[in-house]
Amino acid sequence: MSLYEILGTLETGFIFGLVALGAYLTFKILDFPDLTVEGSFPLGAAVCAALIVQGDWNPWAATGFAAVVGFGAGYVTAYLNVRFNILHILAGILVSISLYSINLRIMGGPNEPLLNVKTVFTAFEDLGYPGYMINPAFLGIVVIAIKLALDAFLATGWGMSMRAAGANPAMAEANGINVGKMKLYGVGLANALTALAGALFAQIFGAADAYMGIGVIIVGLASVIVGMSILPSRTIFLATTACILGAILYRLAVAVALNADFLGLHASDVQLVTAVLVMLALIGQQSGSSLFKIFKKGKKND
Amino acid sequence: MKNLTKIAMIGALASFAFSAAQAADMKKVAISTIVEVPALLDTKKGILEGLAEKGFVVGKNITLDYQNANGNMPTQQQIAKKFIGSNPDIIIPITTPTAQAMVAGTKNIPIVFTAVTDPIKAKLINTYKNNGTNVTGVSDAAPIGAQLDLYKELVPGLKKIGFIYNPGLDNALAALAVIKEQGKMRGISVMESPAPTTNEVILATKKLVGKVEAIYVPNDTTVVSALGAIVKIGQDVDLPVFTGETGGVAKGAAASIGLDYVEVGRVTGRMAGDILNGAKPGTMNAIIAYEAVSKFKVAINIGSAKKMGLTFSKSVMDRATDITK
Repeated sequence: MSLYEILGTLETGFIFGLVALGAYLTFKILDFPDLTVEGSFPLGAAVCAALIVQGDWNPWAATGFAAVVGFGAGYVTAYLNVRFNILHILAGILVSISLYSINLRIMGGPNEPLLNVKTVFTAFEDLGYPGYMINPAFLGIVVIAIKLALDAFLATGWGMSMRAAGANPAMAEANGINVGKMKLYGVGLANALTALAGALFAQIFGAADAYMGIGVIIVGLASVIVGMSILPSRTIFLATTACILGAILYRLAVAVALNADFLGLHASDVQLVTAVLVMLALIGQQSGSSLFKIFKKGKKND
Repeated sequence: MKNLTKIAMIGALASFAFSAAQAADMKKVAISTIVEVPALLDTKKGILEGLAEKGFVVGKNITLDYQNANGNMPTQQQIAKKFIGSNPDIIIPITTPTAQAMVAGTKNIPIVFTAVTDPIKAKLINTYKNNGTNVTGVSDAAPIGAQLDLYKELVPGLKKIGFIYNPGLDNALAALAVIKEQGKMRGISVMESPAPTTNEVILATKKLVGKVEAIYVPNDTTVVSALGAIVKIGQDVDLPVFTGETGGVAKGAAASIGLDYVEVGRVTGRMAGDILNGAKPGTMNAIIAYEAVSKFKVAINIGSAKKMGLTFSKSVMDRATDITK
């Protein structure tokens, strides 16, 4: 694995850290299994790409606006659930399948290239820094800043209300918290993060594509679970850290799987190898350091 | 955490040791595809044959790094990073998104894309001729004009043809635009019937029954997955079903003229071979496959066509390269 590849893995890992933070917010904090993200990730990509290419927008503004549109998507899902009592999972599915069509409309087709146009990343190239070094650093700073802002938000009165609404809705209602409103803003915020991730990813990938959302929810959830089991925590600060860490580890597992062809594995085995690596990490965590011991024993016998 | 890091390190070390063991004078070829479907596997096979024609054989004087993203774009992005990080002599991306991820990542390593329907729209190149960049390649736009001529010959009263497609696929949309244009020149109008998922294909087909004289199934993975169901409906109501890809004929479509994807791959492989021999991609014109290959596949399925109410004249039989009984 080259340094270039490792930095590239970090890059994608940080971006999916945002998706993991969103999944943490919905699944863990709000107890709202939100499937909208399969649609809001490509939505962010589509909005950003269309604004940059067709609208000639400043890439920073386009990226920011993509997050705002993502908020709207999440808000709609939560609204369907809160106002019309549609089951949360179904509400998410409905919004994400309609987003598929909407994304095609936004882009005017299934694929909007972002090659040879100004993106938030070209700004650094113009300064003379090599992209493969500066992009992960930039993304790291952005994602950590967003994580800290999220930590701070969840410690405010509003944030506390949101956590209460998820942890014990009845008690929260009894204390005068508008649980429905918390869901609307919370799911909106989670999808804003996901759409932001989509916008950033499209600019790195070189295109927004209608199929970009495939598997995003799985990766987001897996990141949260891997992160949480590796860094079990009671504080929000550690939990959000774990989310980002989980996302990076997941991408690292993919990178290792991509390099595992010398074991006689085929290119199509990547999914399986990734899954096995994630499983090993989880099992290893559960059984304390036993897996680690196995490695040590093996060494002694050599 | 420690465990995973350890596993990751072992993996990284082992792959490093492996690459270091390779002979230094071997050229490195990197091929990736977004997903493995028969046409794309044929393309890959053809690429290796084309490279061999130019004297480059895997294991002898080139090493091959082949990766499949399994339909997952973040994985595709990581494959791009892996390729570029290993600094190969050439990268050959199969399909549009794969090519975009590679082109976004490097302006130095030569890239020969293939199985991309419209490389200009995908912004991989800005012109087919002499683009001056590190990118060139092969477009797999279908020879739709030739197909329509054949269908008109087989169905004399052909005035309206049904077109089933997934509006989310670039190549399906490109085919729709071309079939409309080519149809106009031949007095054939096109009736669209969208099917965004495989489950909706049957309904989309039934909608066309009685309104069109034939059905055209473009090279669209979503719709092609349900080709069997379309063929069955066609046989039930005597409605000929044609495919944009000849591979569909063995599965029950009546006939097709098409690109042989092994041929498309060969054209790509030869270009890649020239680049390995020192040619610059920026001075090599990108190629539209149907203009570059001398032989097309003319595929007919006699048994299935008969059930759709079609028989083949001697002239068509003589031209056929792939006959399914």
